[in-house]
Amino acid sequence: MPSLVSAHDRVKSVEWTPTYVDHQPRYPTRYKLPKKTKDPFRTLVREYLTMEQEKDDRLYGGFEDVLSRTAPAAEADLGWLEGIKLALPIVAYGEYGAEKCQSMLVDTVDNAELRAGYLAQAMDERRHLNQEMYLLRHFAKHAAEPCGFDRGMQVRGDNIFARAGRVCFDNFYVNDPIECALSLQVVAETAYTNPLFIALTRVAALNGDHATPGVFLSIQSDEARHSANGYATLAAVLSEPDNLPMLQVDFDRSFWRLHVFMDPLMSVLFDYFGRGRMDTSYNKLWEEWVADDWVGNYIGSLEPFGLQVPKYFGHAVERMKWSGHTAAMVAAASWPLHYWRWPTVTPQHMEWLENSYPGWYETYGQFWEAFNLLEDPNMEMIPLQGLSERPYFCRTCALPCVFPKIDEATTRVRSYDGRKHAFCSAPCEEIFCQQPERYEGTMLWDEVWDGVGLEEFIVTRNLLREDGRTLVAQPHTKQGEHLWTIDDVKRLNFEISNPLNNVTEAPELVKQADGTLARAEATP
Amino acid sequence: MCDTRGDGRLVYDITVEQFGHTFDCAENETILSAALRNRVFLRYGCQHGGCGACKVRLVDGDVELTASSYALPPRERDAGAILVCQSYPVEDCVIDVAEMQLGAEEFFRGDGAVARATVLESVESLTPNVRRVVLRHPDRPMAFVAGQFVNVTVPGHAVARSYSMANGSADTDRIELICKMMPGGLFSRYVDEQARPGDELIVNGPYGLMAIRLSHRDIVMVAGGAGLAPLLAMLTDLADKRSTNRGVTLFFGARSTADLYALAEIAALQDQLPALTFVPVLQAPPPGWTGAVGVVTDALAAHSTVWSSHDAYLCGPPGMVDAARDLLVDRGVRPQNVYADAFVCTGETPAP
Repeated sequence: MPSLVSAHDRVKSVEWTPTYVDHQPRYPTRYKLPKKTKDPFRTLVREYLTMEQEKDDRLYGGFEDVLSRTAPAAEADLGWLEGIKLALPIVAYGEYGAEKCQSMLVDTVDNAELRAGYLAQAMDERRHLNQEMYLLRHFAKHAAEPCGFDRGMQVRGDNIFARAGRVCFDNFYVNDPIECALSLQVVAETAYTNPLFIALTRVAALNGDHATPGVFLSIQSDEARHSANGYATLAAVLSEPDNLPMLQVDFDRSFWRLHVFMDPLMSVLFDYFGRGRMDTSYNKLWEEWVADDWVGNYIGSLEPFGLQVPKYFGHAVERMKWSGHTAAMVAAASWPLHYWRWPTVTPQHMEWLENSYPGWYETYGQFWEAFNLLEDPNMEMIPLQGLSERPYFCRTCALPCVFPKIDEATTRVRSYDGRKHAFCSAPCEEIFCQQPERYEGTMLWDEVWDGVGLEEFIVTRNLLREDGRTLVAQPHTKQGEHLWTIDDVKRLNFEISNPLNNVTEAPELVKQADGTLARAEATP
Repeated sequence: MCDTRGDGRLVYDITVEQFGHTFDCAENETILSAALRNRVFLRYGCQHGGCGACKVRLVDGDVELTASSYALPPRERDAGAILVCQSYPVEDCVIDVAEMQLGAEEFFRGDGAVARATVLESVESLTPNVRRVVLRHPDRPMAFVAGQFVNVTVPGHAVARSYSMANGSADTDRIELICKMMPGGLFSRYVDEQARPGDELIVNGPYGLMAIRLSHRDIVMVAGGAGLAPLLAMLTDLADKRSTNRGVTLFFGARSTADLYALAEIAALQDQLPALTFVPVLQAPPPGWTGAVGVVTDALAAHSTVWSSHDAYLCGPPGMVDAARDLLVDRGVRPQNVYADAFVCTGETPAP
């Protein structure tokens, strides 16, 4: 048997430089990459394929055999499964973006070592997507309330939060390929997959869901190799001093764009759909995995080579304090728009939230008390109607401009190129100004649905159950009582509108010589 | 499998889980010396159980441990932690070295820290019993991380003493060590009685995992006696970087004003790091002293800053480090954000 090294080298020797065609990358990168670098996938030849085959056999075999016989999905906490209903279609889009990222990198990066890693990762991402779709199918067949598990993939583009998820994960394949690798492998797969695929697994099990952990742990076991791809890519980029200035800017942007969506999403899943059964809060995990491990150890080890902590990390620390709770409140207030149900926040759960986030009750307690009262359709009110002003949507991250707290939001409105743009924060405005061409023609949720009645939105977006009357979404998880129907929605007489229409004055952003934008009054 | 060598001594297999690698270790050999003899690398420092740099987890098997209780607190020992420099196997063992954060290349490359010859540049009395010893590397530069230490071989003896660098890591051609003079100590006697500029001293290193961790959190530093050394190095590096806006509060515990030193250096650091607050704490203050009084933990407890969102760096005698750690954790600092380096004076360490 040849040695591992020689067998692996043989695979890489399949690489060749064609003389009969002039290969121009379809997705050119601004970065210079050395022809030969470290090899992040050294185990590929001997172990990778057999190991993945074994994992798939176990996973799908386990589903079919144990899970369908004991039907644990039917016994899982109803509220928790609504969180999975919300999250899986979004995470699946991330896998799709991750696979596209690998195709771009293979096309662009002329380096046999790195390419071998990207190719294997592409296979992984496709497997993960299949596994997550299989999990959705499992819940659609076996969950106590399957409705919504069958819609998520169809309606996620029209959901205010899932749409922002798409904008976030677009960063895996829309930009310079190396920046995409930073977003995916260095930020998402190094900083965020531990909370997503390990800690969330614990919350799932604590809530009686034993199907999600099987899939997530199987996925997580590939992530270490993906972050190794990121490290190898980063090391290759750092080996060329010319790359450093643009690398830092791209890295700053990648971090912020992932943070703004991933952190509220994870906090909502942990702290709200987790039902207070976890012994730790999401923010504590964030301190450990993002601040200590990722910044402290990972970036810390690259600092001597010139990489700095993302410029916007301080903004993120400030935003972390309350953004998950604000996101949960806004998502609950807009409950009829969704493809999942909002579980009631019980008094015990409120106590957990106050203990985990001292000061929580003062800001959010009243909302949830009121939310629980409004679950009955006979109250003829949805929380959205109680908002004095509808929030803008951020042009950059596509989330409502409500962070960190609704009444302390860092929102700003600007005009550029004949359109008005709201930004949720200084970093989102700055990122827009760096690449304004990226947002030409993009439509935010309220721009698409401006002037449409809530009833029409629900009917045309297929958010009704099979009886043609009952809403998929509900403000509680009770089976068979207090169920809202389309008739109840009709009575609300609620219309979606874009609050930017009412803005008359907004400072102008002006194009600079280098293509970026700046405030008009700031220019000399 | 347990086996015997030709001479009848028992030999055990030590397997390092992460790298699937097994090496042999004789019954009267520490796991660390067996690893280095077999040309693989495990992190280590003082080699007498004082620094904790060689901590690993024993996954399977059993060892006889001779570590001081300081570097291996009971709760860690109960959780399966051992110090490989103090562990003699009594059966085949499997160890998990994840905490050392070793790459495969580093592991299989063997011990890269080699002895280097240095030249003594100067010895300066900082207090009645603390000296600053400056050594120059004449041949090749030594890169180190602020917070690390070296082992200095006592001239004329086959033993070494550990001292932290007190200068910043930008100095790659020289190191400054702050040495506490122990009555009757071998190295102390050398420094005070024999040392002459130009003497050749053999230095091994750098060692140790103490280093400023990248973070958004503010920093509290607590030093006792000669424990100020690594903290001075870290502060120098923070000042050199200039990019940091992290607040730093430095507590320096001493007996009397005569035991305070490096005050000019600290004042200079404050010019470069406006967010640096310096709190000297005296147990026996002179008349008219308006600063903090008592042991250093009294001053920590009385200080108006809320420590809960801080990273802590502690260096000094074990009792001070333990007390400061307990107090800070009690005030909300996350235990994993307390980085400590206790110096155990060799003369006081129980013999293995």
